[in-house]
Amino acid sequence: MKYLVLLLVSWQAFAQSTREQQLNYRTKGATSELKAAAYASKGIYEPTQATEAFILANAKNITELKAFYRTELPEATQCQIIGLIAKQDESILLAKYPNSKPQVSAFILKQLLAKPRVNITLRSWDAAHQKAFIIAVGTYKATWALPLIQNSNFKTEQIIAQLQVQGAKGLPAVWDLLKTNQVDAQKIADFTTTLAANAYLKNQLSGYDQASTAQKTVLLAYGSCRQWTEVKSLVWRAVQSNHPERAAGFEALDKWVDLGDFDLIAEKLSIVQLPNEVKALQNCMTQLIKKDGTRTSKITAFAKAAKHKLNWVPFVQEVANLDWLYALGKTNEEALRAFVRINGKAFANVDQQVLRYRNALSLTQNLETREQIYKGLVKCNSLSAMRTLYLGLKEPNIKQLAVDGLAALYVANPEFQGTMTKEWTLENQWQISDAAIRDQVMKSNPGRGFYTMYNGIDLRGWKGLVDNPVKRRKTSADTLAMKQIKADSIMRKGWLAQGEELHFTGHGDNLCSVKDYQDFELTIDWKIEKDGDAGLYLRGSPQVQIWDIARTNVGAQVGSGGLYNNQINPKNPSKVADNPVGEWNTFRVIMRGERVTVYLNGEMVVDQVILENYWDRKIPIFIKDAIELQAHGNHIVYRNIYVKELVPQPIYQPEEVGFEPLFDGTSLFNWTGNTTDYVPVNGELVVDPKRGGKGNLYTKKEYGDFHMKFEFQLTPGANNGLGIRTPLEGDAAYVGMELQILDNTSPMYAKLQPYQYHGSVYGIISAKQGFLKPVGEWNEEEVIAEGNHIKVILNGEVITDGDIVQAIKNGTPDHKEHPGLLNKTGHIGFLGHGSPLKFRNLRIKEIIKKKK
Amino acid sequence: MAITLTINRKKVSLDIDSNTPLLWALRDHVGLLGTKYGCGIAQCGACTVWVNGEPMRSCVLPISAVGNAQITTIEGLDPAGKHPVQEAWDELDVPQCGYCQAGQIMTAAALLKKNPRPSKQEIIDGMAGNICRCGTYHRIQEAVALAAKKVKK
Repeated sequence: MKYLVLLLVSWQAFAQSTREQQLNYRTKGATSELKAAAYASKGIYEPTQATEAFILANAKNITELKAFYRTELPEATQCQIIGLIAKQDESILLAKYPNSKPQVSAFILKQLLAKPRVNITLRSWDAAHQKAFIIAVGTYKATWALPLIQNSNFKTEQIIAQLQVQGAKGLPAVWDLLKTNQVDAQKIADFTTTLAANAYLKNQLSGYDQASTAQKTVLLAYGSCRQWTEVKSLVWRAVQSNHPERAAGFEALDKWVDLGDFDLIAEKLSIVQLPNEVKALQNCMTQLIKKDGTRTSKITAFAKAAKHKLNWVPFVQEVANLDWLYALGKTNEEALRAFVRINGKAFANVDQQVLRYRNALSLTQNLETREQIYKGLVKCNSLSAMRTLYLGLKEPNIKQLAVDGLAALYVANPEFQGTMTKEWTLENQWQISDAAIRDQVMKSNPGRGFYTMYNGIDLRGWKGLVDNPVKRRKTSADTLAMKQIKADSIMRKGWLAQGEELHFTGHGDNLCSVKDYQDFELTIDWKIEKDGDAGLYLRGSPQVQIWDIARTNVGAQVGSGGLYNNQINPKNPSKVADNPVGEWNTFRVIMRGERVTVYLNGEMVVDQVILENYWDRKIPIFIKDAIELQAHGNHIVYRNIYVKELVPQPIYQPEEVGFEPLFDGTSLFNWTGNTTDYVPVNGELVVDPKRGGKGNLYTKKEYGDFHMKFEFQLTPGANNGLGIRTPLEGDAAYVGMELQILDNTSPMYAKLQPYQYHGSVYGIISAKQGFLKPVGEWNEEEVIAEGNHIKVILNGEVITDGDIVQAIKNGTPDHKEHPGLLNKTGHIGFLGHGSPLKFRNLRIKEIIKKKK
Repeated sequence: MAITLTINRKKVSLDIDSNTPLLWALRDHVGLLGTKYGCGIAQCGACTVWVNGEPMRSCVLPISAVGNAQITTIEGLDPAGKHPVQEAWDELDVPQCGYCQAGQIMTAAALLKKNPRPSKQEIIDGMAGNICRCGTYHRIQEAVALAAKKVKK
């Protein structure tokens, strides 16, 4: 504090003395003290501004000013002094001009050319001063100076100056000068264009073929601007030729192109190399695209096939097929920027979009390109994008963008809100520009959300692999602990934490999460090498497959992401979505109950498929166990390993004594058949016929006499059926028995027979109508099958109650064969007819016949 | 070919090729040099004039397409040069080299005619077709906003 006060006092004293000194100098006029200070300052800025004050004090004293003038002074100061001297003695202008610096030259020329002067010998000056003078003659329209600049060494400037002074009238005089090759023809032509010289130049056009290159250049430029019809063919001829006027042709071409020329321009653009020709054809292409913006795929095709693909980069708009541009971008910044620009539109697949952005980041250190990439990432609703922005906080010129981007993404994406992302977002909370957004982030109260499984430093949170889950469950805790120590030491040799990346060297065993996971969502990026092979173990069990799709000898062409060890349920991914070997891929894996969904690079490749228990196929997949990264003897890299634990689905347990669940709300392990269309969702068994499954869903077990209770919810016109005492094959309504499940309130079923109504023993025993609840509400149903007696109770009302033997004593009511009607036992099944509907709380009690 | 144009409310008879872009009819034959030649391919906006009150790029508009339309150039925007946009331009000292300004002003005045109270974004969007190589965009946007206030009064 003491020092601060001292500092403040001394600074004030200094400031005051400076201020006083400055005022002194300004007010006291030309004192010797001021003169000494001005000379001492040497024109360099100092707070008392002695030089300024000295010059002002001597504004009329040109002797002092002349003495003070020196070329070391700042150019503006020199101009000030020369200006003051010139008021009394104009000879200073010409005297100082030859050695003046550019800003001083410009200052002098303006005054010099304001009126006629004698004694000017252009050739006595150096080239730069000659040239500046000639240009100024035109700028200030100094007619008197024209004779001075004739026969100069700067023909281009001379001609333009002459035209500036004389306008179109000067053209005949310079026309002959255009015969030399020592002029910048295009520069002259560009100036000539602004003159009104129609009559003269139209006349010259008739002699076009005999004209010099510079003359032709002027004619092509001028005539093109004015759309002289006859010039069009001359321009095209010049462009197609190898004559010197070819450049002028290219320069004028954009005034003549129309949509019919698209292919011609495109072909030329693909092969030209000279910068001016590339530029000219790009101008043409810009024009054409403006006239017709629908040719994007044509442009992509031309670009990909072009000899010089870079020429096409500014025009590429298509998101699809960016690989060629990415390949170019590896060595060319402009192409990389185009890649980044176009990727900005690729929101249809955000995972791929973010991977491309991250690839681009790894390719360039160019600050502008990196900024462009981060600006794109801000618009990607993705956890990986948030992580990348978090990394961007370390780049000084990205920081603000990243801080605001993180906050915006956090607020916009509740599904990514969690302790970790909140910490990322608030790491620089006071730099968040938008106070309202900052407030929203700070007040948010997310759960744990996604958290990282890999800390970027070491292998904390991971452990080595000991046996398999089945064996582990049979091993004593002591033995397990011993084995774990050994496994952990093997792990540390094979798995290496390298910053953002987790590497498997190719030697060792699986890397296992210390924590056991039940239901979860996992995102992870992975990268393999040629012939690579790896995978994710879920709940300690193999696996979500990762492999090089080139390995057709092992069937890898199906792609990565499949549940490789499934035997009953699908094992292959539904499509190939792998990125090329050596590039990053993103997995999003969701495991709920026994089912797994896998997104690979934004494409769903596994859709709620049951993961079978590889270690013991007689039991369903474990309720919970480790997430493992598989070791398969080759180098593989992971990053962005984030997991979110999901609330497990409740397991259903019936309240009634003696009843067992037929479906526990999560697992179809006790069922067989169409486990594709019948899916557990939030404890309900949901039938979704659009999922592509086939056939019926049956209990694995057979039931004879039983009391079953369940609830069902219909959709309009829904049709299903409860098969009982049925074999697994054949039409259950005939080879067993079907108890109809049907929205018979729908007008489409107006003509049904009573033995087809809801609750009927299909084709055999009719049911009472009118007890279904309105479509969309849950119905409760009981089925009691005891010997030949079948009873169905719907919402508390007995709607079917009959004896199947008596029902057919006069033949089957529907006149069809029912060979399985009198089966003693069989499976229970759901007999889908392509309608969506839901079941829940399925429970059953077997009736053991009491012996009388 | 003789053709009659209505330029700044005056009828002007010209005997020139009907393919001639309006810009050059104005500059070469009528002597109105306020409208500038920039790119010649309708990309920069320097040559903007009004055709029946609509801002158009005169460098690519053949006079054959103009017909009886009313043409307004920067010279005809206001007889005294006191259009609110021009006054705003003056007050805020908008131009630097000034080359693009006639086009900028014509576009701005047309914008305000259609939308007397443009938002900041509407100004940016409305002026987007006019390029200024000195980069005076921030002053241009301020001036259009100021002119809008003047128009309201």
